Amino acid sequence: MADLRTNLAGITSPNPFWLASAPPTNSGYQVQRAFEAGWGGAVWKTLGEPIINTSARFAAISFQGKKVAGFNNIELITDRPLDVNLKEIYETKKRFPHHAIIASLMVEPKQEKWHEIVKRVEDVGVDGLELNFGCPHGMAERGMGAASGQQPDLVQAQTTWAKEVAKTPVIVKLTPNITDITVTARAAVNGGADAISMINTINSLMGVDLDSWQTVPSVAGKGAHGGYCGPAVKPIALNMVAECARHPAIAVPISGIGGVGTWQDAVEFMLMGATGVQVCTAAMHHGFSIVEDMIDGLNNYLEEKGLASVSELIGKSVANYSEWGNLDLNYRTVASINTDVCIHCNKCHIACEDTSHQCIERKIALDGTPFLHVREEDCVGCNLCSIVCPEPGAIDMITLPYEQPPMTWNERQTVLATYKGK
Amino acid sequence: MTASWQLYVNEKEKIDALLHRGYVICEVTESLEGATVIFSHPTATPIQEVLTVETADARKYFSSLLVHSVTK
Repeated sequence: MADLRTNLAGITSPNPFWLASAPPTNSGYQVQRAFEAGWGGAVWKTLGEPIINTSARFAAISFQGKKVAGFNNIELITDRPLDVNLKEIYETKKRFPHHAIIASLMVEPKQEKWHEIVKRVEDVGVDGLELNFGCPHGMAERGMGAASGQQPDLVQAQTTWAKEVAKTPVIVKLTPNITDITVTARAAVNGGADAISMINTINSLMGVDLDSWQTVPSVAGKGAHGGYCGPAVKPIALNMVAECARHPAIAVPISGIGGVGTWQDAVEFMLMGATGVQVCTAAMHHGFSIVEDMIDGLNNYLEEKGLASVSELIGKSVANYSEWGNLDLNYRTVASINTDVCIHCNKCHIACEDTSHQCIERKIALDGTPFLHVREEDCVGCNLCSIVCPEPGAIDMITLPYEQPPMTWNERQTVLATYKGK
Repeated sequence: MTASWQLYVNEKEKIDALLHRGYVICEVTESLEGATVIFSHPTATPIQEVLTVETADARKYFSSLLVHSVTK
């Protein structure tokens, strides 16, 4: 068994799988069930002045038979009194002393408010704090969550206020509803954050009912934008984690969140710089027991890779991620169709002919058999044919030998600048 | 061979022909039309030749030669 223990800015956990601050971590009953199932940590549903929720809170997008490809919620932070939550946190920590319990916090952007809640929460023995600067709906209308998380000065100030009294590590949870997340990440670091987590949910409207013309979900005929999460957001989250991980001024650990539902997702986030991951939608879809497969899968993967500890994954792919200008323009890959596997659906031909570079021809062999042929000289290696191909193994993208030495756009422009006309 | 590939081959052949005759690239101006590449030769006639290089592959080709000549 590989060592799955993680240490995020001093917060230790038996494995890298935490439940994110969300409906699954609303109560001690739920968090204890989660720990019994195998989760390594839980970020308690955000504490603050208890709110009042609407009825009808969630919606999801199914895509071609896959349920919950994307998930949306308009639920707010906890609706339970702080004392009730604190009592349950205390009891849960007492029962599971080696699991990580992090309190997610959200209060008005005032120094005294942050001081008060940090002190009260730390008194019951949490392992860390996560400042919720990310929720895009409801609370943002009240100046909290994403509303303050979109302003770097407020991110920095509130982080500083929390750190002024905090005795445990402070994680700052960032909103993706911003052009460049590294700006707010740097603000968090400047404010003294011990770690950052991302992403919170993305502004979304899930749909409009074609019969009633009401938005989805509908609350007595009205809707409001919600927070989007689930598998569909993973690429967005992964990029934001990677952008922060490779930024030299953001040298704090990262907790990765956004569409994590399998051990493979977790490995990807960790390779791109996350120390561990937080999960919500997958648990809401399939229940807490999914963590068993996540733990087994991760352990098997580490053993296959010959790695003794999960920490050896952290950031190993960050150096492979750069700006477009550093990509090699002379690298060439082209499509190769395996005619013995191809089912002649012609999807690749149609996709290429209509929307790419018209390099896949439909041909007829001498014996009358139809086949598809890639004109390599015209193939730009866009991958589209292999993406739309429904038959595994029918199309390979193969790398061609170099005709010219590697050259990036940045190298090209640097040299061409010396050849500029007067 | 398709038209777009042939365009590249045509432009590459023109570049190679000038280089083969001893011309060197002395100036490159990029514009909306592609790249205007000025070749020079101290003793040949004419002293300068100008090529408008339109295809992406040919623009990549001549710039690869320049980058490689600088870095090798």
